[in-house]
Amino acid sequence: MAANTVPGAPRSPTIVPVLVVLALGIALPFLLTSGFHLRLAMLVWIYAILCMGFNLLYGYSGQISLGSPAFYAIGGYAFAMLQTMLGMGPVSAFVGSLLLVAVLSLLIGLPLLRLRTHYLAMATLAFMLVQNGVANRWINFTGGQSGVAVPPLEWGGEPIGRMGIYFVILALAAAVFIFHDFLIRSHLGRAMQAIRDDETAAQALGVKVTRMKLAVLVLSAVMAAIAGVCFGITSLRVDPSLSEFHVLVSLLTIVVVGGLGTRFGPILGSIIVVLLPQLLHEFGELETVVYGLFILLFLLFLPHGLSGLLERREWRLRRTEKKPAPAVTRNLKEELP
Amino acid sequence: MHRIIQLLYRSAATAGLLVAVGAAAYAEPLKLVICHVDDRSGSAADTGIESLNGLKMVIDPLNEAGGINGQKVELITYDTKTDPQLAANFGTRCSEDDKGLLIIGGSPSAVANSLVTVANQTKTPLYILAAAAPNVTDNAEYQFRFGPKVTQDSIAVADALSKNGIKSVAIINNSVPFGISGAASATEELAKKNITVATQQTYDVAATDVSPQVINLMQADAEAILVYPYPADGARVIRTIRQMDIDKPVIMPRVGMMKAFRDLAADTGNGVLVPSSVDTTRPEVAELFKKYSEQFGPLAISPSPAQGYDAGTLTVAVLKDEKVQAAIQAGDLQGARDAIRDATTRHGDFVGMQGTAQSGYKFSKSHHGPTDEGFFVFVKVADDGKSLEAVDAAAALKK
Repeated sequence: MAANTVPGAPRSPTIVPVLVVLALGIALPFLLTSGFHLRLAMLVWIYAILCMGFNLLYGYSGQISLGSPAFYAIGGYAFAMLQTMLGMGPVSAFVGSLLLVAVLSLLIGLPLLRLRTHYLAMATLAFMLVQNGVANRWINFTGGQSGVAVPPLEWGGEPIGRMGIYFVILALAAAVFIFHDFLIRSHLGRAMQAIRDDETAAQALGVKVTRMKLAVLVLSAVMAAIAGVCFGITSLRVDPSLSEFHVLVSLLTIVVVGGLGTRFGPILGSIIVVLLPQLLHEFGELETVVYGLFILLFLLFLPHGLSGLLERREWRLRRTEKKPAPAVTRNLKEELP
Repeated sequence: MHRIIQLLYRSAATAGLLVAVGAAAYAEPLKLVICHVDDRSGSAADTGIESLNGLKMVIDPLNEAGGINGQKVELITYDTKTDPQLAANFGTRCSEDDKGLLIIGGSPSAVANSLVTVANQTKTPLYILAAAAPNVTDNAEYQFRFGPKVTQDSIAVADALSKNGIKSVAIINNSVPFGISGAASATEELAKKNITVATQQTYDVAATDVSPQVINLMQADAEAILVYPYPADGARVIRTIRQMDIDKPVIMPRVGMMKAFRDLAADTGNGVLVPSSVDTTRPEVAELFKKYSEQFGPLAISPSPAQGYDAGTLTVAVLKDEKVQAAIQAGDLQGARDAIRDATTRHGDFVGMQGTAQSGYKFSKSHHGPTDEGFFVFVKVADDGKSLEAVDAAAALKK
């Protein structure tokens, strides 16, 4: 039944579309006309990284976890504070922040993943609220609502320009994207989908459900932390707004628009969610209404999002091409005594 | 041979200089673009809309009169929807795409914090409006604040309580940044005046029932209650306080003046005291609010139009500044932004529509904002929330 509500994942045998997307990402800065457009492109990749983790967790494994913004914020804060408080370099701070988030998500995952459906959603939402409360209230440590400044990335003693930062973010996004794609197309991806569709059946088939769920949670948290670090080096600041509701709303909107449980959904959704407010600015006071209508139309007519539309079409075409297969099955059946 | 080479060098240098001078002479003057980047929807929509209207009250007549040196001021507006990341995007768009000379906005603190980062990154002057966060102008270079920091409200409250011999106060605040930083700064300032905080209660901003926290306030039996809410939850707090017959003076910095709070609280809001950065007993301030009401509809006292108006007044003064004009005419964008920053400190010590007749803005000082002392008067919610009355704090807080 679950397979009817969540699109099945096309297991494309090729990585070519992923490489094409990344090639477009490399070409993008040379096509854009201003630094502001480059900033928007960076935000697209940052949200894409964040949502790829969420996609693995919710879209492929069926774990409704709303804690991603908390890990996004913790990653950003850890990256900033390891540098400013412990004097670490950016690379070691980056590794340190990912390790910290991995350990934290493991500790949180152990008790929380016993919960299912909306109970898990509520518990992880509570974790996000707690994290946000700590970031806001522990003023001496986190800087309160002002947050923490992130030291600018440097190369040879000089701050790296926006173009350089774009390529740093693109490199991280590419690594996450290729890994995301690899997971989806591998046996691990199939195990994740089996858990999503029926945990008991997956267990009966030999999938180590608890271990798998925990691994995906940690992975998703680490991806969120990478996104948090990227946001930090882009904006040179992390503050409690990283784990506020608007981030969660953006995350869910990307999922709706891009397509849950799809290969390219996180990127397509991020493009729409980052660019749309800039395009709708012309509508003035009606901007929010138009934005809401747009999302509503997606929900009504494209429930699997843009990527779902493209990938399912591709998948259907492939299935149509393979029509002789059922005939073979029938013949085999006829041969049975 | 040597002389010929020298001659060639000199000729090339002279030609280069002429080209540079020519380019400067024919450089297109910069457009006078300023951006209002603030909430016009979201939790601080009222403040953003009112400040924009206040700003227009300065810019529109100026443009109708021909602008500055024949150039009209172009006002671009962006709605930040209480989303700091969207605010950072719009701020960057203003600086880099619109070639804005100045950004005005940032009523919610989170939005203001985002804009501060943009201002520092892009070296664009920023006039912050209502944000209460205490440190947005600490070590500031490009940013200046028109709204007082929450610490300044707390100084005014602690002063008034101390002068009236009040020794114990109960604080109730919501869990969003305004509530948290408001309560923290109040605790700090009250301690300086030896006033005890009998209890501090925090509730979720979306909580529908705040009676557990209000019961704790009642049991603490303090002499006055200090509330740091948003409008809707503020109304719930005051209703609960009244339902429980707690007859203590209630002080509600900032939010007590907001129309949304007064409408929702209705009769229960009567008597709530608010330290106000707007003194309507000043004739020029009363005139401003009269004009505002005629142009944009009825409005009770609110700091936002005054902040927008004051930001507009200073904007015009700095855009007319000789050094700023020189950079604008030369088409030097960064030069113009730096000149605006410097002109702001030169022209920025003034008494505007906010503050009292004695205390105004001190942009030449390191904190780039209103003066710490004497900036506030007290007002009282009256007439079932329909109006705000000037009040003598001494009389209102008398035991």
